[in-house]
Amino acid sequence: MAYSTEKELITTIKNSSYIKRLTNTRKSFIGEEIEGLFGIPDLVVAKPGINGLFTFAFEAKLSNWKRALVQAYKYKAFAKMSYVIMDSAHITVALSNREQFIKSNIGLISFDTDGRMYVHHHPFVNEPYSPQLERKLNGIITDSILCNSRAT
Amino acid sequence: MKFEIFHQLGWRYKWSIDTLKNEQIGDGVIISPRSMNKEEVDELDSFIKRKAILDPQLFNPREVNKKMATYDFYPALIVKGGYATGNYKEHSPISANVCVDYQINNDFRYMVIPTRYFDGLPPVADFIKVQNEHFVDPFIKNINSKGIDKDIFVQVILNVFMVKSKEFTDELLDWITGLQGIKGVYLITEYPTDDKQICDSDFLHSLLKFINVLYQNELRVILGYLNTEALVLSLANPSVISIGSFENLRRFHYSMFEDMNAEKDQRGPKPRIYVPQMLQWVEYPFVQDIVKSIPETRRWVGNNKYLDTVFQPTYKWSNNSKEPYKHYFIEGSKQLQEISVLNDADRYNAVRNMIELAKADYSKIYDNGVRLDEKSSEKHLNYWLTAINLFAKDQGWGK
Repeated sequence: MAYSTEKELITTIKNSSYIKRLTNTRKSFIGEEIEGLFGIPDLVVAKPGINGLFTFAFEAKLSNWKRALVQAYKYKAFAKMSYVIMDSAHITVALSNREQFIKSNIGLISFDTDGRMYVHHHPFVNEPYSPQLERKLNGIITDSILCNSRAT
Repeated sequence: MKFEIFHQLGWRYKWSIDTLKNEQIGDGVIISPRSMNKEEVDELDSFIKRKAILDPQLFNPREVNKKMATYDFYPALIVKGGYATGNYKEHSPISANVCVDYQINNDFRYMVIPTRYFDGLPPVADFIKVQNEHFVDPFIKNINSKGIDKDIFVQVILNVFMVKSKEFTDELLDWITGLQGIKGVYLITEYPTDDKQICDSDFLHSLLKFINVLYQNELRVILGYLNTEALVLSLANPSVISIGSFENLRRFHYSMFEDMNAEKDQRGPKPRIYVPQMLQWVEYPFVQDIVKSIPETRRWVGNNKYLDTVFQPTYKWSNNSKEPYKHYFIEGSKQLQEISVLNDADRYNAVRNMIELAKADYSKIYDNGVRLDEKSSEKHLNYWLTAINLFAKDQGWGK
C-alpha cells in the first residue's frame, strides 16, 4: 500500500510516536508550512535544548527524493537537523542514493501506511548556516510558545 | 574594441549615481523617466548629465505613469483621444520636437531616437514602417533642422521571436544599416523567463550575430537592460554595456510599462547576491552556507567593503538593501573591465575561461554536499558556452 497524497503522509508523521516524543514537553513547538524562511518546510519541530532551542525541519514527499533533498537542504539554513520523509512504498530509489543524503547531512526517514517508521539515515547536528534565518525561526517559535503558555 | 559601462537607472537610482560619482564605477548612466520625474533629472549634476543618455521609454505609447507625465513628449499626453498606430503619424513631429529639445537642453551625451514595443513577430515591413513614420523620420528631420552636433542612436527593441528569426533580423539590419545620419543603435532585447540567467544558446548566438553585423557596419551599439550575459554579448563588440541594480533593470519586461498606474503586488524577489566566480545571483542563505562550509569560496564572492557588511551575522537582508547591489556594481564591472581591454579571440578565451571556472566551482561545492536550487544553479553555463563557441567558430577563433 502507498500513500495517495502528501497530506496523508504528513498527518501520519504528525501522529507518529517519533514526533510526539519530540514535542512532549510544555515548551515544545510544532508548526506546519511556516512561510518567510528559506523554502516552506512541511513541518518544523522544536524542543528546549541545553544551548537554547533544538530545531528540526521536515520535507515530506511521496516519491521525488531529489526535489525533497534540495528542499530539505534549504531548511538547514534555520534548523539544526533537517529530514526528508518519504512513503516507504517509494523509498527504493532514494535508498540507492543514500550517499547523497549522507554527503549533504540530511536525514532520510520513511513511513508505511500502517504508521511504521523506518530510519535510513540520521544526520549530525549542525548549527544552521544562516544566523538571520535561525533568529527568525527562533523568534516565531518563542512567540508561539509564549502565546500558548499565556493561553493555558 | 573597448566598451564602456553605463548604469541603467531605475528605482533607487541614487545608488547607481553615487557609485559612479564616488567610487568611479562605470562610465555613464541611462536615465529612466519611469523612475525619475523631470525635476529629479533637472537636479542631476551637469557632470552626470554629460555622461548620460536618455531612455525615452515610449515603449507603450498609450500610457504614462505619474513620473513620465512630468515630461511633455509622450504620445499618451500629446494625442487627444489616445494614441493609435493609425493616427500617430501626424502627431509624431510634436513629440520629436519636445524630446529632442529635452535632450539638447540637458546636454546629454548622445541623442536617442525612441521606439515602441511590438509583441510577437509582426511583418518586418510593418515594424520598419512604424519605426520610420513615428520615430526615425520626425526625429532626424527635427535634429537636422536644429543643426545639432550630437551622435544619434536609434532605439530598437527586439523580443525573443524577432531575435531568433533570421528573416526578421536580416531585413531589420538592412534598414538600420541604411539609415542616414545615425551613429548607432540602443538595443534592448526581451527574453521572458523565470530563470535568473538566460538559458538559451540559440537566442544568445543569434543576438551575438545581430550585434556583430551592426559593428561590422561601423555602427556603435549600446546594450540596455543587461544581466551577467553581458559577458557573453561583449564578444560581438558593443560600445556600451549596461549594469543595473534590481532585476527589472537587468532584464527588460514590457509588462513594466503596462498598467503602470494600477496597484501591483510590490513584493520583490528573494534577496540574492552576485557571486562573480559562479557567474550567478545566488540566494543569500546559500552563499552563507557555501562560505561557511568551504572557506576558500569567500574570495569567489569578491572583495569589497559591502561584502564585509553583508556577511555580518546581524545584517538585515532585504531586496531593498543597497549593499548587495553596490557589491554587484563593483564586482560585475570588474569582470567587464577585465575583458573590455581584450580583443576578439582573446576576449572569447577570457570569457570561456570564466565560464569553465564557474562550472568547476559549482562541481566543487556539489562535491561538498551543498544542494542549490535551480535558480541559483549553473544551468545557464552550458548554454553560454555553446553560444560563445558557435560565435567563435563563425569568427574563425576556434582552438
